[in-house]
Amino acid sequence: MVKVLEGKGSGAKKSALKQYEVLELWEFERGTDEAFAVRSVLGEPLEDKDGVPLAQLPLVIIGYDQQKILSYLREQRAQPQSALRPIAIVGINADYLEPEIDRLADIVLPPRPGLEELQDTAVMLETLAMHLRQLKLAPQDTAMTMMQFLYSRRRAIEPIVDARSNIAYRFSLAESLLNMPTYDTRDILQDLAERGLLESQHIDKLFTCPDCESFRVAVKELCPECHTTNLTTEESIHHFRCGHVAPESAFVVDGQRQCPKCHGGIRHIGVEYNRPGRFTVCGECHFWASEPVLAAWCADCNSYHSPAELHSVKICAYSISSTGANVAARGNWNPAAAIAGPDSESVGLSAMYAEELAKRVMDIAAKNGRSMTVLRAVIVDSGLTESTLDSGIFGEIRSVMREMLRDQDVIVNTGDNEFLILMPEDGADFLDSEELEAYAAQRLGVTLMITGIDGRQAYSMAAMR
Amino acid sequence: MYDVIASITAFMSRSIQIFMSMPPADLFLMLWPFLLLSIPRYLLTELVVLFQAAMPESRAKVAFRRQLELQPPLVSVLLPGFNECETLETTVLALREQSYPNFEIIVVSDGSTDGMDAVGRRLAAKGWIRFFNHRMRGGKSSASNFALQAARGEYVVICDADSTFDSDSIWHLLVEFYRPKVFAVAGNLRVRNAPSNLLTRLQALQYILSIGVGRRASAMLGILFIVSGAFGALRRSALLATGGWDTGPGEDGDVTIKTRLAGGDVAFAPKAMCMTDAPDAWWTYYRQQLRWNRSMVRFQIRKYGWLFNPLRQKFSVRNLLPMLDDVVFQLVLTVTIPFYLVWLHSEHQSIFWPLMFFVTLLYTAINYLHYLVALALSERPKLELALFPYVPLYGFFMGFYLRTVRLLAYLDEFFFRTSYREPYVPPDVQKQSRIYDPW
Repeated sequence: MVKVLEGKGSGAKKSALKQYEVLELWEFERGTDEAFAVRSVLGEPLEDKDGVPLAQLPLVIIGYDQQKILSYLREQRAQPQSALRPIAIVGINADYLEPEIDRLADIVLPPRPGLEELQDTAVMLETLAMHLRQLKLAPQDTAMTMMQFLYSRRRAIEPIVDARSNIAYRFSLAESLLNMPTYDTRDILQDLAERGLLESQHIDKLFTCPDCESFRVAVKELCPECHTTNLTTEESIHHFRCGHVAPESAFVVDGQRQCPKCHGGIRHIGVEYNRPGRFTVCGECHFWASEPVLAAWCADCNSYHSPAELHSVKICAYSISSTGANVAARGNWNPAAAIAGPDSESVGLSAMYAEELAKRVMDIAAKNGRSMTVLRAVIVDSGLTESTLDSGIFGEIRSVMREMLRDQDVIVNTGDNEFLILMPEDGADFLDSEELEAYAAQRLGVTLMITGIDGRQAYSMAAMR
Repeated sequence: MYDVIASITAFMSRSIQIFMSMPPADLFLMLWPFLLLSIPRYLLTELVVLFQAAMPESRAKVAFRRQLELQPPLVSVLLPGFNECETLETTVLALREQSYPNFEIIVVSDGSTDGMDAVGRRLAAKGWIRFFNHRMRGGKSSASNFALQAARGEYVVICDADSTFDSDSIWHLLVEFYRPKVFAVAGNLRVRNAPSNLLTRLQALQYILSIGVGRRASAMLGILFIVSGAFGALRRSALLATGGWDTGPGEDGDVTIKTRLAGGDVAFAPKAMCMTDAPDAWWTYYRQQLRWNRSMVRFQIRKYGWLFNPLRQKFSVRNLLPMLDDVVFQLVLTVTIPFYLVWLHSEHQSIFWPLMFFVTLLYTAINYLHYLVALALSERPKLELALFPYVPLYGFFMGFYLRTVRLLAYLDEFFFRTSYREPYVPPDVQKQSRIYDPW
């Protein structure tokens, strides 16, 4: 609360967030401190949202009741119009956060957040909203919406362990976005991964009932003869003197450990007797078996199967691939068209987004009393194909450029073929764009166009392979 | 070459002339063991088996067979084995060919180290057998006893893990239990690898004559004292009541004697045919025969010598006769023949070799008679006809080679108790077993 009150003064400044909606979940029929703080820092929320596309209108939910929040989040993500909207939650401690809320929300702040946290939240929500404004949305295509969600958030779909799910895991985010049950969602994700639009990462492999696909399959040891579970394990004893072999329980005569055949002593293992084997005895039909039959019993449909009959289900986390990113950026399922190169419209949008983002970063730096030079680097090499994109050329370019940059400089990937290079102006010399372009051309044979965003003169230079 | 043949022919004709000219009384004095023991025994055997073959099947047996067909009881086939990795699957496949509809196969690996347990588990996974693995070796008796405990059928069939069987063998074994007094039934045995070499052919003749004909006659006379561990059936209840198998070696014969002492009879099922591979090297065969024949001293003399004592409470003539048959025709004859030959040589030096030739001739004639009877009774006469040329050698094989081996085995066991140190049973087990058995 102290922090919020402190922040009230600075709340007079113009908020980074242009417009947003707030949802306050009242617990005690009165407003919360968090709601007050949010309004102070983010400004007044939009009262009339008619005509504003929901996907681009950030939502801030304030409350403590995770169940209510979760239900609202699910509802938002399931609605085609609001599925992509940036959502921040204020009021939940990270230690007690429901994993599903973490998957569905974009930002989660604890109760009584600090001023900086709220300010950063505003920047992030606005940046995300701005990014979404660049995309061609396809609200009726839930799969495309999901792709765009992953693309805009650079986020993976991670399975959450959930005993109520038939396959023990849920893909809560994807399920909400696709509005489908777990098993179908998994099929769609797997299908997208097989098409190269998503990258799958192995998390788990489990076996489900072939009848009802439930993972609640217990392994039972059954008598091979009568199929009951009333089994006990016995050790056999071989009495050397007389050659008698029987279960250990038979070697008790009048309460003494004795051989029932010759009444000789059973005292010294290896000298008088040994234990040659172990076996199971059925309490119902007294059948002896060296090994019981292992059967998989489904607790949901009460059916028995041999372990070999169970269906194996791979559980993976899914992240968007470079092809998928192209598809999501264009809002077009045809990856070939996406690979052919960014069209003029999307290049324009991307440039605007990068520029907007750069300005926000510089704003934040200025607020902290530091100045920042930001360069925008775009790959203009038309020779890039899907395979070279997939082969990690971005990573390579980034690491080559890092060699030329100072430790305090930051290089981030902001689009399908572009980077922002953030260089704090702290008195130390830094390379200009020409040097960077030349170095990239020499090391990788890639043509980069590097432009200054802070109003300085733009440089362009081309170097051919 | 011509000279050698001429001298052999001259020797043969002179030998026959000598014996034709000898007074019968002298001839009898020289050949009394042969005339008084071997000929009556052989002739009696032929008569008995031919009589049995001519007799129609008893009504009780027919009725029992019908009862079996209507309600076939569960039969447990016990397959104890040590390092039988290579042969186990073949044996199990042969057993699965059995036409008997209600049987289980219990395989116990007696601490095998050759991967038999892996084969066993694989076959068990297919549902063909019940498999148990013993972590450490305890001897065949321990594996057999475990299998007996695990068995559920009242009739247990014991067989070796390297044997194969005619597809109706279990039926034939089981039918012999039509007499309630029958506690054990011996199966018939043949040599599977008979055509391999001379040794295996001679062993094939040995199996045909001494098991195919000999055990048939012994069973008919009620003096059969052995159910081979290679193939036989026993009543489980009787076997459990007598404590199962004692520590070996020689546990097959031992368990049969115990069965008889418990009041049971031992029958023979000639059509319950089992085939097994015989040793095809003389050294292996020699060692096998030493091992088998040592048990004559170990069991018939040491452990069950009291059966000759009429003062013992459990003395009975029905058990004395088979003991006499075994001891007289195997042990006594084998031990006395060297003395007899020495006596013959010293007393009748001039005619010793003609006499030997004449005896051999007589034995060959008897063996051919025996062989013809065996062929007449055999279910594979054409196959066994191939052994016809080897019958003359069989006389030498049995009369000289095997008798010598037996004599060595008896002496070895009598003086050195070698059977107690045989690797057939692990030393720790054998040591304890000797403490228990005072004999």
